[in-house]
Amino acid sequence: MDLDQKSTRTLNYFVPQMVTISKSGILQLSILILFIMGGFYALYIQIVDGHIVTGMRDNVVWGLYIANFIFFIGISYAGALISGILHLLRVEWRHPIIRIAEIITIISTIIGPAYILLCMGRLDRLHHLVLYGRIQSPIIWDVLAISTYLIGSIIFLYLATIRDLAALRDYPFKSKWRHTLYKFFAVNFNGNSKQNRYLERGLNIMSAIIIPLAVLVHSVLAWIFGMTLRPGWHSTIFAPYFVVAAVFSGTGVLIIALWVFRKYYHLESYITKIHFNYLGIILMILGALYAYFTFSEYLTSWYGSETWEMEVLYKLFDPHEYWWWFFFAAIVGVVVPILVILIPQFRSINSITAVSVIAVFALWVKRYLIIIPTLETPLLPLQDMRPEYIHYTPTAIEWLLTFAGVAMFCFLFFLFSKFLPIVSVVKGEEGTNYAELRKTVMQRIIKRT
Amino acid sequence: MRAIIVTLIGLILSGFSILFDPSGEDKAPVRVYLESFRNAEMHQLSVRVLSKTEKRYLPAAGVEVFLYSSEIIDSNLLGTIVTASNGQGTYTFSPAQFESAEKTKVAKYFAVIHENENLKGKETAISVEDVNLSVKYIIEDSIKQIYVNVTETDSTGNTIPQEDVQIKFLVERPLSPLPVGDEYNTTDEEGNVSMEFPDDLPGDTEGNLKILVRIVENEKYGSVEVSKIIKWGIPIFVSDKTIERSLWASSANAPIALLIFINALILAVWGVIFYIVNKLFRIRKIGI
Repeated sequence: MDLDQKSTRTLNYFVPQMVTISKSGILQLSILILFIMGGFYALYIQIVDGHIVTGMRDNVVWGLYIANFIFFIGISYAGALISGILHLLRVEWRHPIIRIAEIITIISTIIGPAYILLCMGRLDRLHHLVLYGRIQSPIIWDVLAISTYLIGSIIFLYLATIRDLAALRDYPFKSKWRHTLYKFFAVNFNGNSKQNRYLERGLNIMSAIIIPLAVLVHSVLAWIFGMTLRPGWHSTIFAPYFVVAAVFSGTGVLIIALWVFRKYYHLESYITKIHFNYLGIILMILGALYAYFTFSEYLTSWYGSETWEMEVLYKLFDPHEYWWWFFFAAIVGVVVPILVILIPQFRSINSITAVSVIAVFALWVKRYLIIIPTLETPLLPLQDMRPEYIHYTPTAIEWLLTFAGVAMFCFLFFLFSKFLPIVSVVKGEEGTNYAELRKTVMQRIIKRT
Repeated sequence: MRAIIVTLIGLILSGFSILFDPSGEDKAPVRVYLESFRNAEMHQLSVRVLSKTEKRYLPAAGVEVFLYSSEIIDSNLLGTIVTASNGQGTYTFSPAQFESAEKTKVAKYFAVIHENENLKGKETAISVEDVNLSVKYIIEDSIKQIYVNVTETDSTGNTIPQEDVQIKFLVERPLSPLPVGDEYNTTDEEGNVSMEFPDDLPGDTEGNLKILVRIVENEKYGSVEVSKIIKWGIPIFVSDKTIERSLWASSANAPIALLIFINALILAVWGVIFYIVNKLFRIRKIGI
């Protein structure tokens, strides 16, 4: 496939990084593998000894695993919404970031549901979900939505990388397996107009469909909680609240990933301050929206004064229970990112990344606070009640598997970066650039007047 | 005189020991209430534990209570219970314990709380005597009547009517029994009491009601119940939600609208995915 000068330069920049690994890279990879091995060890213990090794009991049946599941599905929004919307609007500055966003989507959509499997007591009955599942159940909707979303995201990423795969196919790699691999996945793409048209149509359709699909996935996830008559869960605004929180955390993870790859692969000329600024502004707007939803959710619960709702609220506001975590998740994690990004003097690549870290961690804590305090508030008094029946504390096994999930996320990202350039190399022949079109139309109007 | 002085010194020393004993300072005094409940199928002991917190006795949760019969020795241990958040717990006799208790004319039960780091020890006892509670359900001139007779059997086998025993009439309902008739029904000198049963109580689909006749918290007998299922209710029509098409029905009875919507959504999304896969094959074909 013929490449223009810029694409050739980009390709020549990335290929050496894809085929080699530095000493520090090996060290970082070893640490990640160590965490993953730790996770497998914890999994082995959990399978052999059963769920008694976790902090989950009859009452608090969901713990760290489900918090991680919601967190990872949340960050998968980065690719779906940001790359989908930016692609549809033909936003020019999207090119260096959408690949990373799409990879975040796929990896987190793979890792997230794995935590559901960890949470299940009887994995040997997994097929019962298909055999006896009720179509009326939001859990079945969730399974259908997430699996469709994962496949849709893989296709979206694949379509967006075909041009790069074709360029890599034609690159003179020393290793034969790379050539075979790229040849297979490049589907004989040589950039002719018909192929370009098909590809662009596919990309447009997928980017249009991935947005409602992503909204649906997180709404369904929220309905699992919202349709349950439990204090702190049964809320009509849970679906949009989850969607906004998901995009907020997804954007945060995207900013962090951009910062890491910019640093790791020295992509300063590709990923610039502009990208951080624009994404920072998106993060700030989403933070404000998220703050609005949080305020609305807790204000209505508090004002309603319903006994069980108040039980949960007291737990969240009690300094001996969850207050400091709640304060961090609902206030610090929102106010700090908004203030830092809002004030131009504070706005820099590092500060935007730092507040993204705070926001992402706050959102993880928030997921924890959605699940645990509610389950620690049983609707009926328990006989033979022991503290461990009510109070949940994650065990070392759960923490090991949590860290292993994060390590796996980084590891898979690393693997992706060794097979594909982390930034789009070849730009396609795009359809209407709406910004350009608007500019042209405006110029015409000015000329006429 | 010497004995009085020794006693006084002893009292003073024990008083000091209470004042200065650090182990006794934080331990809350407890109150334990024990009640017996029995019917033809089971015998239960209910325990309620209160502990003194901030000058008030409040329900004590998570307290382990040991239950004994006859006397407090290990071989007579019936079982243990741990109180719930409302300070209460119930122990149900095992079949063997139930059979043995049925044969006993006068039984004594003990509830014992051992002293621990938070609570002082406490024990309480109740004595439960055997009683005959016979109930007749008769319809006279279309009026439903329940006749109750309370007697005791003495050692020679003679039945002795029991006067002034409070009887309650109830109907079993899903959450708690529904009281029917007067609030106070007391046996006369013949041990008899009766009540007119209402005609307007809804029963199950066949009009069945489970009528409970109870001696409630009697000093001698504890709580004793006789029950019978009888067709004295109004039959009700129950619509089985599980066989109707609804969100809470079985999977085979999902609402049509939901089925259409979800399947249409799946078809639409997967249709697009297949369309794009098809386009990929065409791209491959064009490139050959």
